[in-house]
Amino acid sequence: MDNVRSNAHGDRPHAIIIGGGATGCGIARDLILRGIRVTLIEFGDLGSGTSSRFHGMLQSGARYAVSDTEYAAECMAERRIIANLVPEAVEQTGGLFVSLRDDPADYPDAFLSGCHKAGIPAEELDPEQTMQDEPNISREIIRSFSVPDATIQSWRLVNILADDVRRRGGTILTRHRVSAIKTAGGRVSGVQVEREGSEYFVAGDVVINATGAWSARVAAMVGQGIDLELAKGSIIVFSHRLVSQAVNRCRPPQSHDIVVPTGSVSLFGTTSEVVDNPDTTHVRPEEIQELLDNAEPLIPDIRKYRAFRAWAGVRPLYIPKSRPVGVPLPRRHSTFDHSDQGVEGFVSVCGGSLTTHRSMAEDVGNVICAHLGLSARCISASTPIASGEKQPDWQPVRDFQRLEESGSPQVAICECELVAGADVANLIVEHQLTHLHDIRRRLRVGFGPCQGTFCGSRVASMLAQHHPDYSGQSDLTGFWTERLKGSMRTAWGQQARQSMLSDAVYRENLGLRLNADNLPEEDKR
Amino acid sequence: MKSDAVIVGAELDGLIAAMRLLEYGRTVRIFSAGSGSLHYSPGGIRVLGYSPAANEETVSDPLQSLSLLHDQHPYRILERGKTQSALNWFVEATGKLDHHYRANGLNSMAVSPAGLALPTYATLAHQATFEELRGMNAALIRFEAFRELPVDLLASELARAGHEIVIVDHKTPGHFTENMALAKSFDNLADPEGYFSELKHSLPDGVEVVLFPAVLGLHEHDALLAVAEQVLGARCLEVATLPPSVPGVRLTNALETHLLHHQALFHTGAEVVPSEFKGGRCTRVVDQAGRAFEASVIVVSTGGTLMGGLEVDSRGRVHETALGLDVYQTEPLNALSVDRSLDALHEAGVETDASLRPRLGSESCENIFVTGRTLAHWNPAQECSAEGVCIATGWAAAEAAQSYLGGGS
Repeated sequence: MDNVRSNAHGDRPHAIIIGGGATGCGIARDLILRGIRVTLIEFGDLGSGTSSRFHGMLQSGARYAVSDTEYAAECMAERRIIANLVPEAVEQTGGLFVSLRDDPADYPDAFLSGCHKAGIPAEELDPEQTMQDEPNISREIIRSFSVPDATIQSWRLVNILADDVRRRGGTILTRHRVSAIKTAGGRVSGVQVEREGSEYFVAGDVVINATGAWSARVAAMVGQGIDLELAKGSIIVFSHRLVSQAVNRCRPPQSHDIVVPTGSVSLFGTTSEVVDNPDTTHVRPEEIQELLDNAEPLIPDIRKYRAFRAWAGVRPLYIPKSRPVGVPLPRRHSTFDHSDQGVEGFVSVCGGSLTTHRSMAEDVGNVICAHLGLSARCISASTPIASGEKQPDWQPVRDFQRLEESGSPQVAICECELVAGADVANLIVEHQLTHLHDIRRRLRVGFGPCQGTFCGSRVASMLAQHHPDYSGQSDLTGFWTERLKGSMRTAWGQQARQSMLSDAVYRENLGLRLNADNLPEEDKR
Repeated sequence: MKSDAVIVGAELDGLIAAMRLLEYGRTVRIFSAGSGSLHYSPGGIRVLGYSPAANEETVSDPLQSLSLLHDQHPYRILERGKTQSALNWFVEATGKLDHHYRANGLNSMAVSPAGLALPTYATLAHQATFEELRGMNAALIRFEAFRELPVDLLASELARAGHEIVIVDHKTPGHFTENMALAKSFDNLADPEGYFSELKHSLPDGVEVVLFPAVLGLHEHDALLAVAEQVLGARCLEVATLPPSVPGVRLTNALETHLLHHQALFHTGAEVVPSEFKGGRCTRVVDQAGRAFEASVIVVSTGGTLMGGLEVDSRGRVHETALGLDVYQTEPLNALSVDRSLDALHEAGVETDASLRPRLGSESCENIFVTGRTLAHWNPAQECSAEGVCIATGWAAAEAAQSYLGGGS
């Protein structure tokens, strides 16, 4: 850190990062590794926005091999780096691109050459072999290719990054809201932060807007505009691994063409529709039918499988000034130094993807260093993540063995995801967690087939034990209605029965009431 | 293989219909694919807990309040007074099976596992209620590694409602911590006096009420609770746990044992399909093995969506699974908002006439009777009415079947 220049007060420069998704956490890590002090401010919980509301792929880039070869190459390079840095969050499933009888016949050749140009090791497979390896997919595969796609546990990634930042002395503030960005003489001086009714000022030399779909709102606080298209994407989660690899349609990238195995489930996505509000996470019933109709050519029996739930996330796509007509918006990220528009020390980044979050952070780091006159290089790709504390295991089999070996009478609190009571208790104490949702995101409690039916009240009981003023009734109601919000959208077959069991437990047994006030407006009638 | 009645499904309503038909001297055969929803029931008999009005006020006099329900509700399609007769009959009949319900016509507030109130028409003699806790020094027993009662949540919610509760840790009689196995280890307790004496040492002075998770035996609970009260010198009550509910299983066992003693024939793990459906009558069902069973009447107590009696397809349409009966639903479930769709799933089901007879296509079914959760237009979760509707419709179906069979009631 010798190359870090002190600011006027003799301290190391201080960067404030707004947004605790993959991008914000990646930027915080990039900057702290360059010797800059960081404070990250997140309105909700880490990774609770778009970072966790997507299909969970760590992309090889093959999807963009034809449409945007440069971006595809960036994905491939980043996919390698991330899999090396945080292997505990990555599952190397591999990916398949399959061309069905009715798909464009000329696309596969373009695809293969695009992959090679982008440095993606794609290989053509024998379609017969592919159909044998993946018994649930269509029997009408004409050509198939393997690519190094992988899946990533986004909450795990985000928390690993944040923990690394904390260990290196950075500050992460969750459930804090930035109410104003302060400027003095045309440059930022810090931000006004609000938490549970109290407000305070955090001084900083630079402010980074890493709020993704919300970045136009944040930029507007200092009178800046960012041209974003907000594209909502909805996804259905199926109860088991329908495929062993991520399976893509081998055709120009569009909606609903991908099935991704992750953990013990599979995701099918994604729809795309332009929305005005970044908080829109409502899945319309028509989108479910649209997804199922489009999934049928790829997975013919899709309607017979059990779906747990559906969710939606909002992708922030940057609209370039010169936008060729009829061409999809670029996926690659854009960095804006608002100094050019009269606000010194304010930088925004948007676009990109979870796969490329590190290179987004690197670009932002370069802009910030240039701004502060620092020469520190980016070392985020080559610096291992210091693992000071053990990450709770999440592989079910490993967890089961660990539960058995522990010999502790404290059995699984959540049978679906095999979460040990001791892990929940540790988390509540160490991170001072007060909400079921925050525990859910970190330990996957309530993610499994029962969608929190049995574990909800058990975890609530542990929260009640540790926090005397914990309001179990309202937290449980909020937790349950949020689970219902996703699972009622896919309430057919066994999942309809599961929803009734969940109701039998929450309303008929525990005595909660279903309160529509807990649902966002758009989910009510 | 002919019987007077075939009961499809072993829901509470099916068991009640069987019991009542046996009282009339009828022969009964019961087919069940699995266990009934009593396994999810906290133990008491809930008739109507919440007013159907928008403000959802707690109902104090459930039978007086039935008139507030819309006129397609199962309570309303039954003739006036039938629900009262069914409940009176149930309390008396189960009293003979050592299930002593306390029913004074008004709801009492049973304590839920989360420490919330469940308005209940008839509570078991040892079922914890808010009324019995009022003004009392109470202790709540926490068993190590027992997950099925969220004890700290229960205590904190009771405290929020003004009842201060001390949590007291105590060991279980064996190594088992799963509801049913734990209940059995209480049944097998060699020295109940010793077990509760040890607990007495941990209890603070002046405790007047002791709350246990409702796992104190599947068979010996009354005796064990009597011993506990004597040794501890305090009123001993049980709080229902997460499912499977031991009180619900106790009632199921009592009813099934009684039915077996009275020569009802049980086919468990059996799913049947109707055959020879003509002229609005079905007199024959066939099981998976292809065996045919003749019956003069068929009672469908298959337990709605929860127990598999109704099924939803991926386009949001609801189907009746046992006989393929017509099903009422507002509109496809997937066209509804999230909060409405769950309630709409309850309200979907089979519509019947006042004798609980459904329709199939354009025909009215003269010898088929539908009961409980498979019926349309009610919502056990919102109304807090699960057991009441099952008892009333099970009993009424038996009355209607008896009269169809040419007998007097």
